Amino acid sequence: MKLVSSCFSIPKKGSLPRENEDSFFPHEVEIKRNHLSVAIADGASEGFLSKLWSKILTISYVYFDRTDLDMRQFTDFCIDIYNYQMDTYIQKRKERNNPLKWFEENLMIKGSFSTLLGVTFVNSSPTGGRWKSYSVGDSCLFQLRDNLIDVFPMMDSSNFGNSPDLISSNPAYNLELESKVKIKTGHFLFGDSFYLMTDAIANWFITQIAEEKRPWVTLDEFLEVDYDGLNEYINHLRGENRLKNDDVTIARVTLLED
Amino acid sequence: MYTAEISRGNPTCFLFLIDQSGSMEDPFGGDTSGSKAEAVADAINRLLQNLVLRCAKAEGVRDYFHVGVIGYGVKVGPAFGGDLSGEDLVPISTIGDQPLMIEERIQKVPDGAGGIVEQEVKFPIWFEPVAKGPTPMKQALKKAENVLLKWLDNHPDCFPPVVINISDGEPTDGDPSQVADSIMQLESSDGNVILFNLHLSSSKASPLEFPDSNEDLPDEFARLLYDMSSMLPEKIRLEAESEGFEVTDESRGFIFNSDMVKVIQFLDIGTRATNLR
Repeated sequence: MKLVSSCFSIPKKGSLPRENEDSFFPHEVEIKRNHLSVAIADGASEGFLSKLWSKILTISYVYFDRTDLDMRQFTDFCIDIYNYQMDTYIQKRKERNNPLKWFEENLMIKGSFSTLLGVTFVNSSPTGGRWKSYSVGDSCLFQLRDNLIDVFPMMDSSNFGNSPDLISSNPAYNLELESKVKIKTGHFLFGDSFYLMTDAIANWFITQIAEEKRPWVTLDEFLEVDYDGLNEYINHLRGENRLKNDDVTIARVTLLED
Repeated sequence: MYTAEISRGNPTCFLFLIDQSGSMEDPFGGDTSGSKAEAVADAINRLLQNLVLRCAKAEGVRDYFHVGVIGYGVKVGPAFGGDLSGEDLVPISTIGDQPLMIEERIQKVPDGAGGIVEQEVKFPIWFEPVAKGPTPMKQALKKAENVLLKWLDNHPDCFPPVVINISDGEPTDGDPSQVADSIMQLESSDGNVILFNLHLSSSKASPLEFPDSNEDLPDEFARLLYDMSSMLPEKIRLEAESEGFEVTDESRGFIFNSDMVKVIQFLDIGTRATNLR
């Protein structure tokens, strides 16, 4: 099985690229394996080093690469990595004579927060295979063949709000983690594409589908040849208030026969 | 209306008017451990801390808000101390960088296993309690109006500024209603300025939060402050509702004689901008 992925990501309007707190992993690649995972995460704006946390979650999900994921164990593993990275960060700041300020210390106590949506593909037949997705929060997955096959976990534009479920780097905020985890399984055929999106663009995508449009056709064209054009298109949608001004990440994963 | 994004390119402002008259030396409600002035200073310091934290990232504090504190007592004017003294409105990053001092306090936090542990946290102080002199509320509102006029001139499309007046009673420089009306008539392209009032009365009357009529208020001063309060915009009304307050479409940004927990909630709801970008 061969997985080909493309990823487009831009920060909210008015922010710098380094302030974009979304993550997707793996980046643009072509991977040949019979069992593989991809993941997207949306770091919460109000948090300390949210980008670091969303990155740790996506990379770890891909390296865990499991269809029987224990989310509690997975999160604890990610927290250990996060704590190690934080210690390194604090040490570096001290070495540069720039110790953490009071607000950074207070934010650090609270921790970082992020959504996560990961999906694992398993080649189990000559024509395709199975997929399984784990999700916390409002990042979304769309399965496409000629038409839309599946949507997960948000089904309707009204499901999006200002307080999605999040995974925290602070265990105190993960007490109800299990109840926040949504799981979905499905089947794919070689040639199917999966879109993974963070909430703002996913909300637009779902709204377009509800209006019986085919938004994936537009995105497919941009992702093939024209990232600058997609950038302009996103800003155009924001300007018309059809898209919330938020970080936008669109990843397309296509599964092909090796 | 009240939907504008709050960003570094289009910040909004919060302005607090603090009664610093002699009567603020009186004990706060049922709590005998401190004066009203101390309780208000603590609440404002806590709120400033939360505003800084809401805008703070690892690389610094983003200037989504500019904040002013106007004190009124012996004199009327900016109430920040230290390097911020004399400033009408200060970017939130500057506030974050320049507290008067930083105390260590013990905070109870969840331990991640269902229990509570005590943890030391930094508690910055910007604003110290003052209780002396008369209650020139009208002058303070006039000063606020001037600050807001200048702000709106420079930020015509901002999320409408929020003004929170905290007082324990009777103005000593005349009826402030007209100035309050003028403030509530000020507007950006996103709506009118929002004026909230927090009344720490000396009366023993029952607390009231976000009332929709002045019928149950015990005296003319409480009714005056109620009348000077904006009706809650839908966004803030929903925030209040989600915090467990009983609100209606007619509810006003006014609380009377509430305990400190409610006071802090009230301040937080009034300044809870969710549209930060």
